[in-house]
Amino acid sequence: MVAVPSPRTWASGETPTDALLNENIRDSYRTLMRMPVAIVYRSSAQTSSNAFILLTWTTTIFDSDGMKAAGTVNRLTAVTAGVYEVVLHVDWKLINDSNGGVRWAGIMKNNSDGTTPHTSGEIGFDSNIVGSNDAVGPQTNHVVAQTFLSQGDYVQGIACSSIATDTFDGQANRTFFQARWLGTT
Amino acid sequence: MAIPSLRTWTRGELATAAMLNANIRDVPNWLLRPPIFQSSRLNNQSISNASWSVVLLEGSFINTDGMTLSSGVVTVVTRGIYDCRCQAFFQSHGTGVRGVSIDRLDVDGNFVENPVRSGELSSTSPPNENTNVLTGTALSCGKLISLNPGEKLRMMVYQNSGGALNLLGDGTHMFSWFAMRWVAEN
Repeated sequence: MVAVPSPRTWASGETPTDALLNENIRDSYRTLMRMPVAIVYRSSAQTSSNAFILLTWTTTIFDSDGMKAAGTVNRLTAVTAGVYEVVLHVDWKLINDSNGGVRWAGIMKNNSDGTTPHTSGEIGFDSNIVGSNDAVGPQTNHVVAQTFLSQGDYVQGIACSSIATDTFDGQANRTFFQARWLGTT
Repeated sequence: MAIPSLRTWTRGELATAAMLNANIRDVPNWLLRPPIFQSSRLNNQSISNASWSVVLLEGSFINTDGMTLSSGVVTVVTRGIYDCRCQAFFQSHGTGVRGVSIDRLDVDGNFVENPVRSGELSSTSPPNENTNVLTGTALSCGKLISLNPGEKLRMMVYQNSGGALNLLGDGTHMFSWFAMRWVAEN
């Protein structure tokens, strides 16, 4: 957990010792330059066939605060409380179909692995009609949410394609999930 | 809290407690708790056909800078570059397009510009969704916007299904929302 700095109020007449300077200047700035950030992706495809799936993440690009805890393949969990920006991006496998269907994706908070969209845990959602398409143009969902997370709160990603297809198109890290600490309240 | 204005220290001057507080303590305090605002349209809002409508946001869920909200208009307290985002949730309907945008207004509430918007064809409801909500289209937009004290933002939506259509809410959750946060001085 990041110890969110609480810089001292200096009093008249006190001596700014090395310990005070280190604690209140050095440590504050060090912390600010390394606030919680986590970026994860999955190294292989998951398939949706007109049903929402819970996205799972196998690979961590960066995780400064241990949000991708061991054993929790589908969650980013707040270790440090605060306001977070959460981003889910799904880069669907391209299909060349005259009726490409619709792609949906959502970000869920404290939703106990549930995959039903538009329930109480949902904090962000995107729908995207693919329509007539080819095998080159990207088919994606991009969802951004801002939310307050207490320590232990977690976020998850869900996704669905109305036509059976994969969440992976050629480069695994183009489907990703990330969370970034923005500030305290 | 005001944006810290850092002094240039000069040789021989005494670093007083007041100086240390203003130039050292207040900087991380500011960066740790910058202006952040978030609101939502919690309940259904009927949107007229083929015209842009103001989203009547209800309440502030996060508000670290005392920004005010009135009739869907958010007034800025602190100058800066803000990362502004919104998401709109429309009732299921198979006809037409849906749009969402952010308007910038001056300190008197007059329209200045529409710096960002997005739109797409209406889509069908996703499978297995919460039948109390039944959304058809969810879309969003966002941009960095430079703002000064008193200037205002509002979230707008558009639909042309052929009749009035609801922006969806269930009274509790944040399906359609607007959020902004300070990212830098302007």
